[in-house]
Amino acid sequence: MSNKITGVLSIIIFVIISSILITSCRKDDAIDTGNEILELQVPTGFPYPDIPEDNQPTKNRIALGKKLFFDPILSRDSTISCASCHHEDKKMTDGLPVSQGIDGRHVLRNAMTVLNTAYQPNMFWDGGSPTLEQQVVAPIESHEEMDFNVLKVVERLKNHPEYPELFLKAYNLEPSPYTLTRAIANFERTLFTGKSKYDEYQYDKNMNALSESEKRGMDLFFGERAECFHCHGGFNFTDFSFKNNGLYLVYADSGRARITTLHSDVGKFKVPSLRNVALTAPYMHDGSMATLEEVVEHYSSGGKPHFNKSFLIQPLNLTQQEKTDLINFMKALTDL
Amino acid sequence: MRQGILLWILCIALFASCKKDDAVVQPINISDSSNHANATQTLSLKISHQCGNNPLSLNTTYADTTGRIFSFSDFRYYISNIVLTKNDGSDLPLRGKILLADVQQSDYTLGQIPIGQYRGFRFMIGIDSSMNHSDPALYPSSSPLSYQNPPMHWGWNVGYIFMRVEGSVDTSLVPSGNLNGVLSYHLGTDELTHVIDFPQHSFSVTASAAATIQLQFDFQKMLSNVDLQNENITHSLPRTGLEGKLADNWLSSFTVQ
Repeated sequence: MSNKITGVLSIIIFVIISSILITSCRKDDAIDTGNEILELQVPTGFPYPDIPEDNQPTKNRIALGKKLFFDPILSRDSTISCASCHHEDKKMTDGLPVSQGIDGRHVLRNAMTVLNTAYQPNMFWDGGSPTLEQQVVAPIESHEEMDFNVLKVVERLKNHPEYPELFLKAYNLEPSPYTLTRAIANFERTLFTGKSKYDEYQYDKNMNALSESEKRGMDLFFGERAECFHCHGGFNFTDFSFKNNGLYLVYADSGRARITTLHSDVGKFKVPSLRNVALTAPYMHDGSMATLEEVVEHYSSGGKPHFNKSFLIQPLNLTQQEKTDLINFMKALTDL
Repeated sequence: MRQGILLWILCIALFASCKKDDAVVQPINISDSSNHANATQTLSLKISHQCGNNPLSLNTTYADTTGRIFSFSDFRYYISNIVLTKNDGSDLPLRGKILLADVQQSDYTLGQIPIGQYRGFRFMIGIDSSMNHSDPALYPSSSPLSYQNPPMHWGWNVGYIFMRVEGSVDTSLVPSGNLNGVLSYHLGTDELTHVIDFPQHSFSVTASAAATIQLQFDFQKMLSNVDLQNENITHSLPRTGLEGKLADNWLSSFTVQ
């Protein structure tokens, strides 16, 4: 009899405890979804980017990287964050000829966008850094940007009231140069751009998406006369190569040559994407051109005869209408 | 009763299944051990850093051969690819051994090596290309290849700073005795690695006592043909010629005692 009672009691207790456990399991599952590997939502017509095996995107990692990206904790005097030079309203550029870092110091070059950076085969105007992860340390330790040290950032993060737990959730590790660089790169890889009037025309086959002028500009852009597409082709309007576009006869900044030491690389810089180009003035590696009109004028003239100038840069002698059409087409590359 | 116990076991099993399945990300590890034959002895490297006849230390004023003064605030460099040559001519590479030498430190442990006679040794200033192009974040913080403060890696360029010299120098046209300029040599990039070879330095490693190789580094020799007034800064890139001159001078800066 007592055995029976014990049995029934056991069943009741089992049911109660297991329901508690199942409920708590659900809670754990909710945490776990933060660590599920996500598929990035790439724009129509774009390939899926290569992502390092150890830094696949998850909700927790992206959230941590985003918090770090906007946090001035990365700079020596806690005044400069990544977002200081990569403004969301300027398509992740800063509107300045060259960026401004700590104590108003001037950075060497114009801020490149962080959008579609998942596709960059190397980082910076000169390709000096090989991966998005390793790139993170450069602005932190640059004297003109954040003027700090990655180990000191890690110390700050370890002593922060929130970060240690966020790192643990995202990577199951404490803050370190490894987790810090993975997290920011993880967030940056989720930043895409690719939904412009041009994309509606090209990928969504909406033939009315572009005006007549924009279409004429597009024909020039992709045609063999202006032949902009040779460098600014493909889904991201860049072939990711390094080119000398005849900006100067003598370059104050040697560009790609600083990294390779090759005379044949003097004055070569990464071909930038033209997506959102109407919102990312000023232009060129040194921000020396304020408007798209100036840029088109430069290419129409054929540029300066530098010994490394790309053979693709030749005088085009565009008419005023052609210049207007070309600019209108570039404006149609702005995200809707 | 047995039924009850079974249910309790089920409960525990259920609890165990709740454990989170975390994706653990681990940085790679570099093996730092150099295990060789059975009978081994500790081998150390002792480097005496000099500036001419004076011991080299930080925040001390020295003069070059023209009387121009300078001082250091930081002086570190990488030693790698250490190879001992046995008496039979065969090489014994101390694999994975990388030292971040600091002028403030003279003693470095190279590891356990087999007892016997050796007739020479060599090492590299700098880091092999493949490792030089690796990501410092992947090394544990105890590794000399992990990120350092001040940095021994260029963020804007792939690769380690093989030798970092920071300090002040008198850059006046006529030496004035004032440390009014910056002394900053960041020497690196694959092409600047140099092998320092001592093929004729025999030494024996015995069971009775730890063995030591005694090196001397003379900064005065590293400044050979360097005009400190104008050649006080190099980041190795862009090339100015100074980086190559300083790195070539490593060959004569190191001597064995």
